[in-house]
Amino acid sequence: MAGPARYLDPAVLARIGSLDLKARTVVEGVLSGLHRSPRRGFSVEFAEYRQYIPGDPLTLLDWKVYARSDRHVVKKFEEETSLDCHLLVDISGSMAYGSHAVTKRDYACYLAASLAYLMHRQRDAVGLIAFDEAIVQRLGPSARATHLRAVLLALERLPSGAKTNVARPLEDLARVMSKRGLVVVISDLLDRPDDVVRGLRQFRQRGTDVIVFHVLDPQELRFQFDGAARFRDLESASEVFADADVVRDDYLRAMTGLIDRYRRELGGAGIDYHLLDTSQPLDLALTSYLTLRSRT
Amino acid sequence: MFGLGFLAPAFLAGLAAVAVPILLHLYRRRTDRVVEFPATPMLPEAPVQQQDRRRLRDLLLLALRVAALAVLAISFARPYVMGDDPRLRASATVVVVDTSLSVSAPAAWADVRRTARAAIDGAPVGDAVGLVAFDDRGRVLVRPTVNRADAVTALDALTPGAGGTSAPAGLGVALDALAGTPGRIEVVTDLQQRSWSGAASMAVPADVTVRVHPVVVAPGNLAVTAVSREGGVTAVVQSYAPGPRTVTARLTVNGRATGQRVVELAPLAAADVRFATPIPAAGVASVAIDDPGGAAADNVRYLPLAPAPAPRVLVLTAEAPESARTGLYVQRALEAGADLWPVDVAVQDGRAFSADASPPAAPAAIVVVGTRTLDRRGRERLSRYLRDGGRVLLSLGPDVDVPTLSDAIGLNVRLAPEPVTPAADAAAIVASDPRHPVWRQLAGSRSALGRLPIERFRQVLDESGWTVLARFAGGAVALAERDVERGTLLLFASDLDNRWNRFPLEPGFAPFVIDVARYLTRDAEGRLAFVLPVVPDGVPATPGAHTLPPAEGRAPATVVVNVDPGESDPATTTLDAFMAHLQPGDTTSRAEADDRARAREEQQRLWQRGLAVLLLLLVVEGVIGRAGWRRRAAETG
Repeated sequence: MAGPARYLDPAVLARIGSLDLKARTVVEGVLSGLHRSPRRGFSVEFAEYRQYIPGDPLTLLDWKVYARSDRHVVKKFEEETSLDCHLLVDISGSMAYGSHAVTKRDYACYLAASLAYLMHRQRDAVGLIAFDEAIVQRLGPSARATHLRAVLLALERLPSGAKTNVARPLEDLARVMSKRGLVVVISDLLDRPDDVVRGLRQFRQRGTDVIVFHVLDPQELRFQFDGAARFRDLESASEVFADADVVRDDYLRAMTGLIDRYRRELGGAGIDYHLLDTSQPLDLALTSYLTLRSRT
Repeated sequence: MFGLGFLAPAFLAGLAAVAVPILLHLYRRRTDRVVEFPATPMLPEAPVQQQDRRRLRDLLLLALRVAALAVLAISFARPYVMGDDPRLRASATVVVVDTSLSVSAPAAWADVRRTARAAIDGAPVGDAVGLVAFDDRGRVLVRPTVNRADAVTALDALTPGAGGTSAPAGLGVALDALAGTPGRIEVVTDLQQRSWSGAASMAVPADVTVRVHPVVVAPGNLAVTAVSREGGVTAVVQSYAPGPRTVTARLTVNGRATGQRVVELAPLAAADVRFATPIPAAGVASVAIDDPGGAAADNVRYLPLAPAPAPRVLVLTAEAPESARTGLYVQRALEAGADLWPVDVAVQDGRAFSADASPPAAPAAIVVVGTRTLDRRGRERLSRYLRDGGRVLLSLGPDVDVPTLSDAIGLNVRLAPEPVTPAADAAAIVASDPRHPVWRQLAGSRSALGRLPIERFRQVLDESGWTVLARFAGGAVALAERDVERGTLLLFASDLDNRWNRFPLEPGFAPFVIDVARYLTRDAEGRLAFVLPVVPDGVPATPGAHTLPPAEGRAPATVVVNVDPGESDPATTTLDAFMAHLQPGDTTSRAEADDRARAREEQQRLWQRGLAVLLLLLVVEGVIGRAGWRRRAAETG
């Protein structure tokens, strides 16, 4: 991985301090070879002032400011799209797991931040919902720049969650969503598959687009432990003693079955399902979003 | 521990080694690799069961290894089961409870039980606890046992009696119950002033602690202390109350109330109560008073109405009494006490005794002061009398023919051929067993025995088979007793005729002779009134009128048993005076206790069983451990 793309490596991102900067890095890396979105919104909103640069349209000069301060500044306006994007980030106990430098929760936050940044660039309104067995934190969708900073700040300060219950937060969100939009679920989906699928299907039934990023650690995907050990669940603290060499095949079969089931049932419901390995770059996720966005 | 003793308890320190497998087990448990893994619920269940099995196996192996080490250490310590044998225990406590008449007042007895219970409960942890009751005699109610409930139960069932107070009797039995075990004797008594009557002192092993718990007997006891046939029936009612008392005395004759008198009693005084009523010549009369707050058994006293034939005592001399006056001192001593203890005394020389072919009524006892003139028939007659249950006091004076003595008494007594003249300081007599009835009056007075001027005596060379009742200060036997078939033989090693000693001239002579005669005739025909604790065979040792069962040459008769009036007196001695009678003796031989323990261990050989168990444990441990190793190898492929 070279050039800007290397910044899509989660391990590299982990060494970058600010989540804002991480998001920028990721998005710029992904977008470096893509076209800008041609979409325009139906309304504009003042965003900020900046120094006038020769070549800027004179219509954008703020004459009142010039009259008061003798400085040439231009007004910047942001477009607001009609698409509300809801980022649902799982912060349950199981998301705290990480077999390398990046935990699933870190990865989910990077991804959420990057998506938020990208959505912001796309002039989409972005909202954030953190959940474990219920909605822990919720920021309503908005396309304002200040809102983006609020989303990023919220992502940086997310509390630690407890047990996972994906279905309940989905039901809660479905009740409060007033209009169609985009729901992005970032979770390890270590929950009862029936509940998860049922919860996601209700968005599709309302016409809401849904992207599911199934975030799993490489160890969860490949189970490369060896020898006997006591495996302790992060959420329930229940323990299972097993010899990894003995149970590996059974486990991988069960995990593959779970992934295949999600892929099959969610795909059948018109839901974009993407399995993400926390050791892999984030571009797949962003590309998936842009691909979906290009369809809407 | 569990009734176990150990010959080599130092090896029990090896029990600390059981910590090694336990620590290893805990260390291994702590080092089990723990992996936090969110998809744990997706792991298959089967290995969990395997782990449960492995944990169970590990715990079983741990238990086996710990048990093996423990068994090894215990086996090396040479264990043995002590059971209830107090001699094998490190320490024991015997609670000695006074059940005499003097503590039988309700308040006093409640105090006795409460104090005794506290003594049982307060025995040191680990001590075997026993219970002894005593009045005139001591009796073991519960031998020292680890089960203290036995002592408590026996105490709850205990009731006071009508006997006297003999502290040495209780302490002696308590020491016997301890059987050489170090420990303590807790005496619960009212310190009645007669507690040590008849006993100068008692040796207590140095490793036995005697503690006395005095109970208080409130003054105020009333007692009927004497009944006689003077002027009908006359009774003596004694008050030990500090103030004047009025009491009604009732006369009962052969079960019928015959009269009653109101008696005014001055403080601490006695009053005669006379019932001038015609009294029949047979049966039993009794005089009773009411004294609910005092001792009960002394509230009534019984009187036999039939004339009591005195027991017959024959004094056998070598020469005819008219010519030599031998036996005179014994005869006079017995006659001098006839007022208190009637006795029919006869003196007969050896020739007459030998020639008397008719079978007269056998004397209750024979005092032999000379055998020199007994011919073969006489010796055989005397010997048969003794073997058939007769009682003989044999005085080894100058008139005793030593070569024919064995024929006369049917027993070979090894005596020195010539009389011994003791050194002046070796002439005193020391009672070996002051509790014996023959010392009733003398043993309490050291001077009466210690100053006896003994000039010559015959030395008993072989004491085996004899119970020595007194010794000369030099250690030779002075008075000894033994059974000769059904009879009883008392042997006095000197003279009773004022020839080898001046004992017959001493004031203690008459009491000695009377007590010996009373002892020898204790169940003799003719005596109808007895004072506890002396009762004839077949008569219960309880106050009242009883039937003396018939015996050979004796018809059944009605006898009465009364309490000792001296026991009614609540006067007590001091604790210091009581304790002064206890003399420190030798420490119980630890070696003896060790020998007993070693013998018990040799008999049980528990260490061999322990090693067998150890071997079995190791085999089982090996089998389980190997099975586990195989299973694990199979699991890991």
